[in-house]
Amino acid sequence: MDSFISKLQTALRKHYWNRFPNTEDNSSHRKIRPVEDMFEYVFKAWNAKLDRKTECALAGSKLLDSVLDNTGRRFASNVEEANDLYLAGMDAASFLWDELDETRGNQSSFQIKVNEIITALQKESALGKEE
Amino acid sequence: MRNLKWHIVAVTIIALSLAGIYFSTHLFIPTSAQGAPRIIDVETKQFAFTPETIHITTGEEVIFRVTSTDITHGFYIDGFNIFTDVPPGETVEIGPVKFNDPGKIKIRCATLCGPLHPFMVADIVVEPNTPYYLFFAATIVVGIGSIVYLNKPRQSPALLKRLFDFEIDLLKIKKIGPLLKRVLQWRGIHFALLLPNLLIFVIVLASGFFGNPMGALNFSIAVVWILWFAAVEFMILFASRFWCTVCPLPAFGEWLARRRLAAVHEPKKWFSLKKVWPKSLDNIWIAALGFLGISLIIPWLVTRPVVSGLLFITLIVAALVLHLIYTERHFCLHVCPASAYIGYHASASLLAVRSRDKSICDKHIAKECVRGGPKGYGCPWKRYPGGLDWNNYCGQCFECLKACPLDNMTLKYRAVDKDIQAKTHTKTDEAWMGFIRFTLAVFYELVFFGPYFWIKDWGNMGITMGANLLSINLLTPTLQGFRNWLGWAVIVSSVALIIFPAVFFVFSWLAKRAAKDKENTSKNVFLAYSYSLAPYGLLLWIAFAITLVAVNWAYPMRAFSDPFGWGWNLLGTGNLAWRPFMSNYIPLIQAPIVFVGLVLAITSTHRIGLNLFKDQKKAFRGTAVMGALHTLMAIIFITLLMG
Amino acid sequence: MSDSYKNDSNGRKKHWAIWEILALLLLIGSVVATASAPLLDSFLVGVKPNEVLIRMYAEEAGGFEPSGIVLIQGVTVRLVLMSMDVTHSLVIPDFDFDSGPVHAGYRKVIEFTPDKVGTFMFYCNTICSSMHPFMNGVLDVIQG
Repeated sequence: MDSFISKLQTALRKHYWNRFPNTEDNSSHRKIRPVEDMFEYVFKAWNAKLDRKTECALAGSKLLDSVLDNTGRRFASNVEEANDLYLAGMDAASFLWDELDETRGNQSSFQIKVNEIITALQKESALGKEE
Repeated sequence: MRNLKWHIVAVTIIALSLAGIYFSTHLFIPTSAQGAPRIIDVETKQFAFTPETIHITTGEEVIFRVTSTDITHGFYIDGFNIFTDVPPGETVEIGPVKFNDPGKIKIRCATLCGPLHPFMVADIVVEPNTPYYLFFAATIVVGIGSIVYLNKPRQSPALLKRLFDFEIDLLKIKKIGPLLKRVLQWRGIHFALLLPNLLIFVIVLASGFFGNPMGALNFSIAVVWILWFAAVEFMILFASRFWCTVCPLPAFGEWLARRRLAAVHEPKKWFSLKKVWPKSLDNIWIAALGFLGISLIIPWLVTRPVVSGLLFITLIVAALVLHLIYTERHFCLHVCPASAYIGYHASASLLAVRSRDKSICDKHIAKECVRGGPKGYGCPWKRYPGGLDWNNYCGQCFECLKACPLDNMTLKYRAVDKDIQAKTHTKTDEAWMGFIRFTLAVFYELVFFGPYFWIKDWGNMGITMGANLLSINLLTPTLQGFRNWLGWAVIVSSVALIIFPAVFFVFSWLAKRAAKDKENTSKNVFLAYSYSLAPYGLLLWIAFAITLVAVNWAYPMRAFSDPFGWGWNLLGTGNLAWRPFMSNYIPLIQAPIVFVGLVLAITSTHRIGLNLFKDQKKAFRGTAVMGALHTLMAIIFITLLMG
Repeated sequence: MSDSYKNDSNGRKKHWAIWEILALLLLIGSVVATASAPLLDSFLVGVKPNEVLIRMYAEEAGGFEPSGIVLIQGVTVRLVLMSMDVTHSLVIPDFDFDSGPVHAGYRKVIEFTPDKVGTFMFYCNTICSSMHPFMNGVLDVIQG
């Protein structure tokens, strides 16, 4: 579980959070919104009984798209940003997809898992900043 | 610069001498009539003049005594302000008409007399036919000149390089570029373009089924087969598959399958069986043979509203059904006959959808252009937009411009045979599409605007009535009529599918031998060379389209005011008179277009040869042989126009 | 980096539904309106109250439309003769009426005052197809 979180966190820190002024703290909703958007997408896609591989890939694209939207951009600044966010998103989405498979789409346990992940992202980023 | 100067000098000398020869013919016109005017008897019937060809000497004065053996016809001569009715049972005297200009002009029927009225044509050859001799010679000069030039193609001076090797990123042009980009990336653009077109189709279907059975007065014939059809040929050259961009045939299927009219639905749950298209049909054979099939019924298709209506409703239903079974644009890719020919020539278009920087695409992992993403669907034409280098199967729906998150997709304007230059293509279905299109361009010019009644009659099954859905019984042929049609079908099919390809094969085999090549199979050389017909055929079709519009522009203009042919006048153009536009000069406009086609055919032949033989000398020898065939075909076409 | 982001997540994504519905309404409305255009024929053909429209088709394709006309004795009407496919003409022998040839796609407007009461035949007088001799109609003139 940890690997995809740190991957996600690295990607977000490198391409998204670094665009925010330092005064904003990590609990700012906007910093987490792309992740929420992506997880919301995974939930919908899972419930629509679509293909896992395709939808997790699309979830990765969704993460990138949401990051772009939340930074007022139409296009990614470079290929690296597009790739990093896409891959990180895809891995996170795959994990949650498997979770949904296990819990048979139980919404509350899905929400709990999502909150866990988000908390982990925020905590680690806070630690990271102090260094 | 020395080369450029000699180029200009040579061209100027040739042009001046040709002009000189042309105008000198006027010096020999007798200024006074020699004796009484000549009397020529002309008979009219549905749908021919007898005699079919009349020879007149320059300077002669003629009185035409015209009669009709069936119903009221009309008499018009290219370049003269004569529009005379010829009622049945009377002899109408027209003239004296003085023919001062040598060359070939047409007599055309000037009074609507039935479905084949626009093609009721006879030839007048005013001798000596110096314009024809001139252009005959010019064709040979252009053909041989192009071949000779390619023997040692000079390093093009910077100016010529800019003319023939350019590439412009349209979305980066100052001011217009960003605006165009915003428009193309707006999700509503496709719907906005489709809706008016869809309404036009509604009119086409309604008028085709229920409107005036006389084609020339019906929107479904007049607008579709004169205006749209000609416009598409120009569109292909200047805007690639732009017709496919706005085509409403697959609209219903696509909207239903996507469950959206414009937005991207997330997650993408398709309303479709999502079956996989069979591999054996992963080509354009159905479409190409469909196009040929249409040509077998073309005399009816372009004159009987109900036939056009039935064709279009069939295509719409097919597109809808296929979209719901296979999703994506498989109808467009593999079934639609228009798509087949538009796609075939699109490789010779100036416009192309391309990625800006392929290295960015190479590094990009997600490839939303193929898979789809939040901002756009994946390419419905099943292409990889990032690596696109061949126009033929990109339908210009601009989804990739919307889907790409890296701003790497764009529109480019570039030299005509760039796609053909890139690599060798040897697909049999594409080759045959090329043969069919090329043959039909020549064939239609001969049949529709030539004076030979028998072939028109065979294709028409001898029926003189128009028809809409309610009177479709009027299209019942006699047994003899049907037999004649079979003759027509055999002629068209054999020339397009067998005879011309066979001739082309012989020449390409000779070209391979002349090049002393042992690396390629004869079949590959044959197929590869066929792609030179992409620009060549397109330009011949443009030449054909020019006649169509120049002579008959009034019919579509009327149809916009009176789509059903019932006497409406919505826009004020309902009573426009039929007045051919500069009809005696049409061949002079068509000839340069043929020459451009010939030059493009020969230059792309050479590029294909370079790709095949990888050696300038070998390629040149191949080009010389193929160039001879191309020049021969140009001479045939020029003869049809002017000889 | 601008702060003026679009509406919050929930608002932004919901907009598309409104546009889709509008587009759908526009689509259905315009298609229905266009398809219904033929119904407006009697309005769009531009025939005034004291005018009588007669469309002339070759007999195989319907002949005169309408093929039966009722007029009132002594009342002047304007006959609007429209040829639909080839050149036709209309003659009413009992009234010495001859419209002369009318070309396809055009109309001729001729004033006519029926001065006799009764039932009369009218014919096409310009050979227009193989069934031309059968192209006729009936004119009923009633008491004014």
